Amino acid sequence: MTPVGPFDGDTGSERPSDAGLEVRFTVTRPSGFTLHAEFDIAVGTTMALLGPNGAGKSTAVAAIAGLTEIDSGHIRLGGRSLDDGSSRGFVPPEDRRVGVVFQQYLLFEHLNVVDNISFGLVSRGSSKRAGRAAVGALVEAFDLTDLAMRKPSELSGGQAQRVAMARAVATEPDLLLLDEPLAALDVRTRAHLRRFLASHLADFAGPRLLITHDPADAFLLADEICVLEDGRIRQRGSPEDIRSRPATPYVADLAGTNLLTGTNSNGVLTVDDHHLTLQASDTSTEGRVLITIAPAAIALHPEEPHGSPRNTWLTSVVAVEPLGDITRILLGSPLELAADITPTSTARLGLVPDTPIWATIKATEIVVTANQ
Amino acid sequence: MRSSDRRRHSLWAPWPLVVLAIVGSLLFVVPLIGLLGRTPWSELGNLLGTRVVLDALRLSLLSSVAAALISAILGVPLAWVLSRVDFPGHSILRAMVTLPMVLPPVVGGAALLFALGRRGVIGGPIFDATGFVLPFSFWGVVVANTFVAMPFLVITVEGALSNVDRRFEDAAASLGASPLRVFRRVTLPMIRPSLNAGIVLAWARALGEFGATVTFAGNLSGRTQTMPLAVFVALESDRDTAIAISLVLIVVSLVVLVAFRARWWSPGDRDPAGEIGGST
Repeated sequence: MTPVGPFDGDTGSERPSDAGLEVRFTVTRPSGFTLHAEFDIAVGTTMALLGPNGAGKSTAVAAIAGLTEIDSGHIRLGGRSLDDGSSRGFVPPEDRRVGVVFQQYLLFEHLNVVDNISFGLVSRGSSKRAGRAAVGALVEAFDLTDLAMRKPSELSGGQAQRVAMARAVATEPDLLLLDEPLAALDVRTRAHLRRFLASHLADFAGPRLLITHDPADAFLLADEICVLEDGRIRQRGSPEDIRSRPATPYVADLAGTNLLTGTNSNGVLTVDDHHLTLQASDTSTEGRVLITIAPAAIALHPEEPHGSPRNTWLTSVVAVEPLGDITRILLGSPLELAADITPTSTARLGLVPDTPIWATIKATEIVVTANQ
Repeated sequence: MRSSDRRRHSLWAPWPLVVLAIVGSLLFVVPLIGLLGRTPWSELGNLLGTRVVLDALRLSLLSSVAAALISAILGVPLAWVLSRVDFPGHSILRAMVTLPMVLPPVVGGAALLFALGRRGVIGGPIFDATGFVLPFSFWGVVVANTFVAMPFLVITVEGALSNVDRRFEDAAASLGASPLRVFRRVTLPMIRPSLNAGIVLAWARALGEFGATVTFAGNLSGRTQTMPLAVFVALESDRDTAIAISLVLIVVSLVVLVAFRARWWSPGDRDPAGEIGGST
């Protein structure tokens, strides 16, 4: 099977083992939107495809699950080609062995919980009784024993999602594909189910692909993250990589890091579109640069600090967002930045929108990386 | 959902709507009262116990149920093809399928005769080969009934099919279900309320069928004379019998419509589109 289209030739990334997922494809939707997807997932690892709405996540799900044909490239799973861009190479969804957990659960209302979970086994030839017996252990492991005879409409969102997950893994597919598994849940259930997923994802032996727009899902559940924006994968790496070296403003925003673009001239940073210069300790990376500032590195003072770091300016509070242990303060002109401080400090400084405040950053806290 | 819908039912409606609604319902209620007023109640048992009436009742029930079942067996796949498959002549086929709903049934019966009659395009060769004649037989009645009744089932089911949330079908396919299995195990259960409604509509239309039947199958007492035909014949000679038979038709139809309306048609009970989460 030779790759075709824009992915001709090896891309240099590591080869997935034969049982993993290998994705290299381009697909254009009737709307004109084009998705280029290119990633591998090894067996036993979870990859998160993280991106905003409209980035192409649903298109990726459709192509991998077999709900849409790719235009060029290929999708291989467990050493088997699922699609190679030709109509003859397209494997229909029922033959792909891809277990999908859908965002809206999509449980069959006319079947009870057990029959929903055993639907795949019965579809593949088991008798109803054999199917029910075969999923018994799964029903127990997913804590669904008491709900076994319920209809989907009698389940809460979290329960329904557990059933959807059990249904997807019951046939022991070659890939587990989770499409926004937590998006339809309320905040408290989401945190609970995220822990549930974290413990149960590891039980699934094959490659796992988590589609999400929520960085918390990606950072907490995935071994590796692919960031998808405008139909292209912009960055790929471990959660740690993504957090510490975000490649685009979107990623930085997701990871809670301030990312600016500008120029560096002997340690003096001129921020694009702003009348502010910052002093960085890094004088070696000259020219066009990405400037990253961790929100925790920004200190806030009610009055102009004396003997202060060189990066000091007067700004005002735009918004105050409590994030549990910390409070994220969004600062306004002259430089829109997010600063993380403790709730205690927030109260002590009396921070509400429009409060004037002095911001300082140590030169050593400003990370400068070359930008082309 | 249902309780909140109930609560929204108002006792107070704008009076122009109420007046027009009353006039509208009178159109249906007054003829019924007229019929009941003329009904010879004491004679009813004798009138309905005659051979001719019992034969007509038996023929009507058998042929209308047969027509409804055949409509379901052929009409559901036809509706599926119309709603899911794109092919040249799609809109022409849909128009042809629904044509019997607007065509005078007599015209339909005549068309059937030209096609399936002893000298018809298809009926001719069949008669020459086997000696089988469809018109003027019980199965002729069934064919005429199906011809006029099936469109009601097809458009009801097709509407439901195009409202089905296809993602449930995708989910079933991803679990390994073949397209036929997806249809039987997921799509059909999702459109069940509409399918039931379509079957009842088709049955009701077949029960009242007159024009196509009399043209294609004739009016042979004991063989092709259904209740509507018996009423028509009796109106000429024996008005009391005609009224009695009409009364039976009305009672049977009302019982079925009320029973199935309560069970399957309750608005908001089950939404075949979108979520199928209505609890029963």
